[in-house]
Amino acid sequence: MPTGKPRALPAVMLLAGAVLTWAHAEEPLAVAARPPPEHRNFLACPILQDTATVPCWMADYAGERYFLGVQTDSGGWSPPYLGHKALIEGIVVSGPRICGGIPLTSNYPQSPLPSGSADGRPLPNPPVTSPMRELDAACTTMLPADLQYHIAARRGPGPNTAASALRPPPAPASLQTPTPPFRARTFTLTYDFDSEVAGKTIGEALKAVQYARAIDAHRITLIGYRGATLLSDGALAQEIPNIAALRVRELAAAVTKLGIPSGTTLAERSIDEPEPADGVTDPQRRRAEIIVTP
Amino acid sequence: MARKRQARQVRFAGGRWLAAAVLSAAVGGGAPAQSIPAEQPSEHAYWVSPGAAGAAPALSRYHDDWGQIEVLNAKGLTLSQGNAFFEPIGTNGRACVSCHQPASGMGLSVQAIQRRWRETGGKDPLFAVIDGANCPDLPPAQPASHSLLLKRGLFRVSLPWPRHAGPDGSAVEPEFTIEVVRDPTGCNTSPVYGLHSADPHISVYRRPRVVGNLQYVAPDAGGTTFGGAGPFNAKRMGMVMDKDPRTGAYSAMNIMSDAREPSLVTQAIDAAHDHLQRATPPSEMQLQQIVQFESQIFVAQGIDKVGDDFATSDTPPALGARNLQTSATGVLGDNFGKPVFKTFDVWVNRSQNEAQARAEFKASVMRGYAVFFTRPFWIRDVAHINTVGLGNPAKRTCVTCHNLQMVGTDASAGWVDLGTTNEPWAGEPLYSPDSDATPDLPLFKVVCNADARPHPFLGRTIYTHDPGRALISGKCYDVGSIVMGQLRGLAARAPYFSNGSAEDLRALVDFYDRRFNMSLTQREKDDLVNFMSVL
Repeated sequence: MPTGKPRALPAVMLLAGAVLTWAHAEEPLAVAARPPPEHRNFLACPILQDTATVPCWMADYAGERYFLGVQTDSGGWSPPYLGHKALIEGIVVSGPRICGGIPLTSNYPQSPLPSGSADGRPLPNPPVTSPMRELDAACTTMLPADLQYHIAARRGPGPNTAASALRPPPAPASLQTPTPPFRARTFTLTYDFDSEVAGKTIGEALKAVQYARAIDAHRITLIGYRGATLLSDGALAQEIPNIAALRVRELAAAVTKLGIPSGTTLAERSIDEPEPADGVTDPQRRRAEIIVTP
Repeated sequence: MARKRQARQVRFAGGRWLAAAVLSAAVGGGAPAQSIPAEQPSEHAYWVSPGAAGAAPALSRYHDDWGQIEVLNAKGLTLSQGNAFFEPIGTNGRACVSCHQPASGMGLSVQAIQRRWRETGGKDPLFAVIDGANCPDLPPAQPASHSLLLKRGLFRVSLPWPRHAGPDGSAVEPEFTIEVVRDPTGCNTSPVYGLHSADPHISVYRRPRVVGNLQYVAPDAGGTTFGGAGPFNAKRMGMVMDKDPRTGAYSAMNIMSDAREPSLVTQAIDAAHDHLQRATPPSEMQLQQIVQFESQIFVAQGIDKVGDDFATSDTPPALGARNLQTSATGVLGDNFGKPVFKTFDVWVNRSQNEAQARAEFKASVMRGYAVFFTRPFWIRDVAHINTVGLGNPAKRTCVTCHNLQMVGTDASAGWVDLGTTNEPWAGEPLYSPDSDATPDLPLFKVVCNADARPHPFLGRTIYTHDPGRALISGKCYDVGSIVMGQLRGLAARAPYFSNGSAEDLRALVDFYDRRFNMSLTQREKDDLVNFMSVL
């Protein structure tokens, strides 16, 4: 997933005084700012639609059903969980429906390999999908296999084939030995909404520790951020108040166990003020940074 | 010449742990296992006593309910005297072999436990009250004091709680509290041993795991692990794996039920203290003996219930201990190109000319393998399976989780909450005034802190008989997660699951059928049982 510094947002998108926590997120609050019209950011129960091969994952929003993706393999897109609502951050894909739903996609790559095809057309890169932390007993819908949907998945419900198998992610390549003068470097990890579990970007932690060792760093600073997402109905969904601290705590445990140099100071900081939200680039601001200082 | 002499003596000795008298000319050469023919097992060889004179032969076989289990000692004869695996190096008379008996497939069947009780009147060191009784303060040598061991093959595992440091010294911040809901053993409410004692500990009850085929699961046994393990847990990427403190290599964390020890060496030190009541760690030589012996043992069913001998050349390539010895380790078997238990095709042709009973059994085994490998069902609400990118539920097969070729463990760090220890799936009986059945195990109420990441499918309040991995990690989402065990040598070591809740292979299948609403047919259940019986 791309990472980067948060960019400055227009003041209208800061939504001062109009923020919602998840406790209120189902009561849309009319605000001036909304995501671009092709974006669909919403919180919903996922729906499982079985097919003759792998299940499709769907979600309903504003009277319409959307296609999120298909079951694939660990290491690819992470489908949602029945028993939990999910935050969907996607962009409408023009073209035919898939499994009866309007397909959504994302600018953030969700899988190193395509998931497969539907009716011979490649499946789009899925939307960013974040299961909520807490259980929701209402999220139970499983629809039986509908044989009109033709999904050719890269990974079927049975064992893999050798050609289609995802391999475990290779260990991040060792950094080239840096040469003086050393400079401070920032390594950024991104997260699912409300999650302190670093997923596909956890390799950045190893890179940071390797760099710290290589330059015998004076300090490693961990900074956790709390994100927010501008929903399609204009409401603002903020992450739980302590998520920045939880991210820092998890990251501190990881870099400590990876082995920071003995003379290096580990500093921790969490920023509980929510990041600004624009409904487009919000996933990249759910993040933590590791700043390695010579 | 020396090898011939050695092989003959092993054969004449009946393939059991040998008496020292026949060994004087035999040891020293280390006969390769391939030169050892199959032997007739002895009815009297079900038990190896710590410190007894004798030796582990290159290949030994023992009757079980489904034929014969075989134990291959890949380096050849090993004298038991002076070897720390067999010597009572603690203070209670036990050795490693006490709970890892060859006739039980290097585990310990409840049948063997019960027989040992009858033959010794409960005086065998196996029944030491430290963990062989439901609680150490119960009167020894009385069946009621040892009911969990005698009924379900369970030993008491006493762990500090709350825990503030991991096995490697890293900080642990417990995310939950534990309340004792019921305490049939009395140990968790004991003023001496309980959760509110001066030295607070929790007592959970677990089965011994198999000491065999360890090259597939333990890096320090000499094999390779899938993907090279690497620093991160493939099933929870933010978590850095524990390291083997001696080599600095990352562990696959698949050795113990709660993954609390990263290597065979640290496990041996832990076991010497907890189970053998040894005050100090074993010496370097003793540790080396233990790990070396454990690393050279391969265990599998050797003869099936219709008499097929898996030491013959026309055996399916995954069956028998020799194939375990020679197969590659670290192969992901959730793959049509590299099936978890390879292929049984050799039986397709051979069975055409066989007696009907044999042919039918083989056909059933092959159908069972097909169910295991390719029959999908909804894997649902399993922490550390549905949460690793598969979604919940996931339409998959048994091999999704039991994916390590030849042994059927999980190639990744294998702790999952299958539901064997957590309610509502754990199989303890309900109280009723109309029934004599009562629950055997303690029940704990786990309440997770508000800022903890909750258990993904049970939330923040969990009723469990064993919090499993969470007692080590302190994490709410780990409550009830247990490292899955290997599927080899099953026939010799019932009951199954970490808490002995499946009394036989059929009960094991029934658990999965109930847990995942698999709607298995009677024939499919029979086929799965037959399939597992030959592993």
